[in-house]
Amino acid sequence: MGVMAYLAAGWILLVGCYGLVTSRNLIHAVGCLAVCQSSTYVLLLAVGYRSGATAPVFADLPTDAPVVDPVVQALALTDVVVGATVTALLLALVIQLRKRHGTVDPQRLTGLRG
Amino acid sequence: MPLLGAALLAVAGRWLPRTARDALAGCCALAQVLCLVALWVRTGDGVSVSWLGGWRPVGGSSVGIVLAADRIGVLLALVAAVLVLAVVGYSWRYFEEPAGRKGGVYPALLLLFSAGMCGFALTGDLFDAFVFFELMGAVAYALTGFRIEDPRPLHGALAFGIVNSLAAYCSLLGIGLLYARTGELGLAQLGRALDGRPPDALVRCAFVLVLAGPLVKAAAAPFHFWLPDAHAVAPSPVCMLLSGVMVELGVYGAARIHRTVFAGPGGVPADAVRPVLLALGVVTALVGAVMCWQQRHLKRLLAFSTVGHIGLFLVSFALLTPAGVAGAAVYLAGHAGCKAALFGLCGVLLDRFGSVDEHGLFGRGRELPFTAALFALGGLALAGLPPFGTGLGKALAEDAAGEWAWWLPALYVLVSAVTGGAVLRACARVFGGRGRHPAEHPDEPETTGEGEEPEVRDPTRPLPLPVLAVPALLLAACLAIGLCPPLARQLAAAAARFTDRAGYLDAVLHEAAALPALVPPPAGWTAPGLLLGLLSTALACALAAAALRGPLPAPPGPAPAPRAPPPPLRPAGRLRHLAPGRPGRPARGDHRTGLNRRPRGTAGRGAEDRPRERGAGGAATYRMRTARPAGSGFGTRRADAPSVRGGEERQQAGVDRVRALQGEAVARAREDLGLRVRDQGGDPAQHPAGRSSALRAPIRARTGTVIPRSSSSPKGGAAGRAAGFQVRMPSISGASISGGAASAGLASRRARAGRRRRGASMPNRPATM
Repeated sequence: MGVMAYLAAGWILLVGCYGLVTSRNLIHAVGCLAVCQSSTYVLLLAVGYRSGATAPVFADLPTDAPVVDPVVQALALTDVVVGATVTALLLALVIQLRKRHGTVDPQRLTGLRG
Repeated sequence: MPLLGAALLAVAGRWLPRTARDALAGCCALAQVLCLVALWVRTGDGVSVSWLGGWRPVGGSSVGIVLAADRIGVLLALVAAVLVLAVVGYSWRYFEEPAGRKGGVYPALLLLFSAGMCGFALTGDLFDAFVFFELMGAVAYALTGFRIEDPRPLHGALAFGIVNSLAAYCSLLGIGLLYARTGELGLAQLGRALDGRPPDALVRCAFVLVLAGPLVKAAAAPFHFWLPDAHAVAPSPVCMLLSGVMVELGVYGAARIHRTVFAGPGGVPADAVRPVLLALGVVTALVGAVMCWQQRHLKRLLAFSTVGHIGLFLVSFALLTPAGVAGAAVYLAGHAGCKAALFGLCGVLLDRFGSVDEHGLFGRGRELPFTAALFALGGLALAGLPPFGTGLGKALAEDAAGEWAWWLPALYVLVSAVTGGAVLRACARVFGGRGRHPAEHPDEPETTGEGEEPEVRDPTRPLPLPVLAVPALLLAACLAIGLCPPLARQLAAAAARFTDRAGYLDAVLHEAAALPALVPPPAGWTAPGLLLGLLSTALACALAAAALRGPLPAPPGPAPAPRAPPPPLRPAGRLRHLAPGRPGRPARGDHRTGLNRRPRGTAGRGAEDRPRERGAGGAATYRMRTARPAGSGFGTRRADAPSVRGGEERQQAGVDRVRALQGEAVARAREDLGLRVRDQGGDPAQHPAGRSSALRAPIRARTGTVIPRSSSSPKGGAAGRAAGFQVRMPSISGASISGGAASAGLASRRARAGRRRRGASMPNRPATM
């Protein structure tokens, strides 16, 4: 693993941000937001990774077996839940916007200016 | 408690009658306030610590999750709870709630919001802070876009949601890095772990990332743009919460995280943090003040004034002294009361007149003297008039800031004077009809605040009592904070505790019962503070008066003809929309939708005799309210309605005719275009979007190809050309080329289909706009 995972996390974040900035479609933008968020999964899991270790479930393992850090896995799970909520909510807003406004292009949403 | 209430409401809301739902929500909010008051008393000058699930620390290390409250945190939670209570009371008779299955959603969301805010204020764990932050955020997006029939709230909620979520993910990355470095997640544990090691670049990087979330939530300068968008469109009671406390929680979060985690020797040195935060705060304050002054949409005006005050709070906190924190805390509490009251009064205006436009409401508020008095009081409080809590907080913060740099008090005076002055100016215009009627600049893209959707169904009813009582009570609370010296002294002591990092770590990690006594900073009225408060108030009044008497650029009336001759007409496809503008064609929208064209005489003023009913007549209402100087190209309905059955030869013919009409005639064509497209509307029930000013601009953008004055928004970026160009350019193709479409709905469906066809068949449109 090493440093590659951290670089990958940073790269995913930057790619997501780039997509978000240049996005011309709100659904695409929400997708980019999800991409940004997935960088946090990668980072969190990379933080807790130990080479040669297994999942932290001690039901069928000796108690001294090497396992990966369970805390970050819990964090990543919470993160997934949060992300799913936010993404679903934003997508619902986009759908409603499409119904009312007829477009998903942020450049054409001209209601708020000045 | 609020979570329980929210769950109850969400489940039971569909059976309970309205009154029972509101009463339940009110009881939950009240219980929360009482719990927090009890916590305030119990916390005293120390720190209340609670380990969830009984996972107490053993020998100073712990795996549990901790809630740790000192009085600053409790203050924030208390402000949030009180405002939620106020909002529940305010919404008692205010909102028209969907009945049936969706009943109870709004109060349930409110209670969830309050749970998120209190949790964020009281948590002692960094990851929990993130979770509460996202809970607060997600509920806030939902509340902002609560009126899903109107496109503008949706737009604001989306911008709000995307920006804030992105920032929250940055925070989470920072939290991950900190965990990687220290293996801890609690604030206190993190602080202690960082103390034990030399500072390094990873920690600094984590500092930046972690603070990104709260600072974006606090709308610090480069990221302030989401705030006015969201606040201008959210329902007024929700604005009270967003502006009153949620944004301030961002500042609090930044302060708490910095003090506890990074203020130690292993964190980020204060000398590096202070200038950065000061610069952020100063820029935010100035941007907020300047933009606030320029608004005519009252809610946007208030939102920008929130940005300005957030800048001041940031400056106070950035001093990193107990006195600065004390000033910020008092100021924040006072500001919450006064800003929430002002938003509540905007809700009254919206309720009465269906508009929050300063110019459109000119003089129409005369019939509401009590509202006017409250509004003026709110403006004075915002400017920092001495007996108010804002005045006291400003005085304290100025004191603290003056010790660091002589010019910072001037910034406080300036920002509060400008924001207060803007509110007073609006108040004088709306409620007093003072000054001359402001000129219209129909060609500038501007959010006017007209055509807002009233948030109630029945504007003829008498004004419900809570709608006025709640702002009055909030202003009274703001006054009480200023008039009650013990409260300010307690807050000052709390600020000393807040900045005492070692005490916090001890209390959390070692459960130290008795913390060392601290010397609280002075908290009371001083002569310079009083004088500066009076000065800023006087300055605000002077600014407002100057704005009212200032020279008028141009009298209201029909917009002048375009100054520049139109450029040579370019490709045919872009000008098709001018064809319907030819004089001589019947205004097809009239018979199709039954809407009347408005006489042009009402332009710009909004009609005084606006009909009060909604529904079929409501469309006329909006038409009138959005009446504009004829020929301004405003007031247009969305471009969905027209259909494309004209065919190329007709388009070409139209272009030829327009080509012959260059110069002066273009103005006439444009004029007709403006009216025609507006009347082409279609059934307002199907396109509620159309009546808002939201949708005038697309048309304007198109006419902009011919008349350069009104060309809006520089859109010709390379990225724009590359992607989505065809989506953006579906040109309205002649509003009345469409033949006898039987109904507007049919027409708009055809238009959409046609647009798709056209988009496919005309890939090589010119790429300039």
